[in-house]
Amino acid sequence: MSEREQSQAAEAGGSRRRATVPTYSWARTPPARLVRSGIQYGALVPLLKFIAPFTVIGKRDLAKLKGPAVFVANHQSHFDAPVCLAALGGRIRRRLVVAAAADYFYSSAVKGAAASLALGTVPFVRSGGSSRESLQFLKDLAGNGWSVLIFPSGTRGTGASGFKKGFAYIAVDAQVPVVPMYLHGLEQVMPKGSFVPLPGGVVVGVGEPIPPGDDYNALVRKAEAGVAQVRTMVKGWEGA
Amino acid sequence: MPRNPFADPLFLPVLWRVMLLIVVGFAAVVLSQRRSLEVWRRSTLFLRARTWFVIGPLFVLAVFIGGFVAFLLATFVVVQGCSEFVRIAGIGRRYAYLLILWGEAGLLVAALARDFFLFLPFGFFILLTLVPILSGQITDAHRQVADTLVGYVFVALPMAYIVLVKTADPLGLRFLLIVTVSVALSDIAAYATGSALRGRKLVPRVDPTKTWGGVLGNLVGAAVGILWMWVAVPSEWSVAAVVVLAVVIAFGSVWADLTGSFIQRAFRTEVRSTVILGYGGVLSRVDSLLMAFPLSYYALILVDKVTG
Repeated sequence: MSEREQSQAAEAGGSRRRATVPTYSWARTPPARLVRSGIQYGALVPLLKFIAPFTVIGKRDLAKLKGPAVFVANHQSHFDAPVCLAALGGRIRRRLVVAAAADYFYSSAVKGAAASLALGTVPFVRSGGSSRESLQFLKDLAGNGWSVLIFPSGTRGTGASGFKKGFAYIAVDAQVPVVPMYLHGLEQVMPKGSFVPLPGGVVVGVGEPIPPGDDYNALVRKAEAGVAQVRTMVKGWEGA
Repeated sequence: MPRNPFADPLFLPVLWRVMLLIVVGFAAVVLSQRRSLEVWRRSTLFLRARTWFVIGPLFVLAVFIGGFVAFLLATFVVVQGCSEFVRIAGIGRRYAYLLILWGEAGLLVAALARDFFLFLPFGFFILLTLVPILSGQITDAHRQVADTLVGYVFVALPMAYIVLVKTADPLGLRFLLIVTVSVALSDIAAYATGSALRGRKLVPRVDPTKTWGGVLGNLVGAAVGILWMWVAVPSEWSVAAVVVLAVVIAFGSVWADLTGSFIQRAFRTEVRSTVILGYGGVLSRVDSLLMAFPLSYYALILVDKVTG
């Protein structure tokens, strides 16, 4: 039995046990999306332009995307997801969910609801039995035309390598491309352990979409290489 | 308190002068570039021109309305300028927060409690020294304190000074308008004449791009700026005062350029920001004004005392 088949078999079991992790499906209804658009256009993006004025490099690659994708980026700050959302632009943002650590962002109902409404996050269980359930849920979303933004290193400040396989399961099983991204500068705006941002410029690099293929491990390696390539591009721009 | 800008007879003449200046500058750049419209629209110069169309009237509106609107503008400059300096100098987060907070406090003191203004630099020094004293982290603390103080004197204190002069001096608003437009023209003229005339380098080890031709441009630009804003020049000012003002504004602009260059070279860092479209950071936009403003204000007072 191949790894992909094992994953699909496990999924079948997982879907039977579904609903132990809340899905916050109301946050993806048209009224909630309208409110989210208002929050993002009216408050989030202008605020980010003040706190973390960002430059997007390689945005042209996004034009090649015609359907959903899995966006993977290095993780350094709580500002990563909002900056990615702002950088990706309204067209992609409209149908995009952010995989957010369930143990952190969904530790209280109010916190979780606020994150789901404002950022379009969905709870992602990082370890234990429910993590499979979370993955299956994200696969379902990708299959239904939703893009997914995920930070595959799992936690902040771990650099742009050592990616966990979760994103590859989503991309391969839903057959959507992976788009590598690299965020530079947010480690100075609000690093791990800090709760007050210090304004400063940020560069967001976007790489070429990577076709999913059918090998999870190969896709992880390609995504790591893709992020490393975007990092080189960003550093080159920085030094220009 | 915010005021109705239209109630001030100076508002519309100043606004249209600023707008005309931007339109003329925009047209001059378009003609000099001689590019197709499509190429031009994607160029940095186009972004810069677009930015001027926004920040020009916004600045005029904010200073005429005054109150919290002007305070917001000053806050923007202090927060962004200090943050950029923090990145250039590699200042630690504790010191950085204090720099921004004390910079903000300085704006409030300048506007609402002028009697305490002179205490600001000394008070900040006390505050900074409390960091190593209370935290016990003394490694590199002297350097952090010194660098943060440089940032304060370079960015936050002059901004508070601008607020002080604008609110305390009856001619403060006029002075601010004249100096701001003159500094902007001085910088633009320096770039234009520097590129056209070139000439000997001014201080190549500090700034290899700055030439004596550029300095001449600084002087001409500052003088043209004052003439352009003649409507705001108070009748009490003598010809000598106006001439000195032009020279001091030009000197302040050159000084700011060189200081900015030596700071970036000393710390081997350049800040890359996009907060001002087409330009990048705030600091490089306002450093000339921040340095020329106090200098020219005291030069005017000196001229006034000397000439009686």
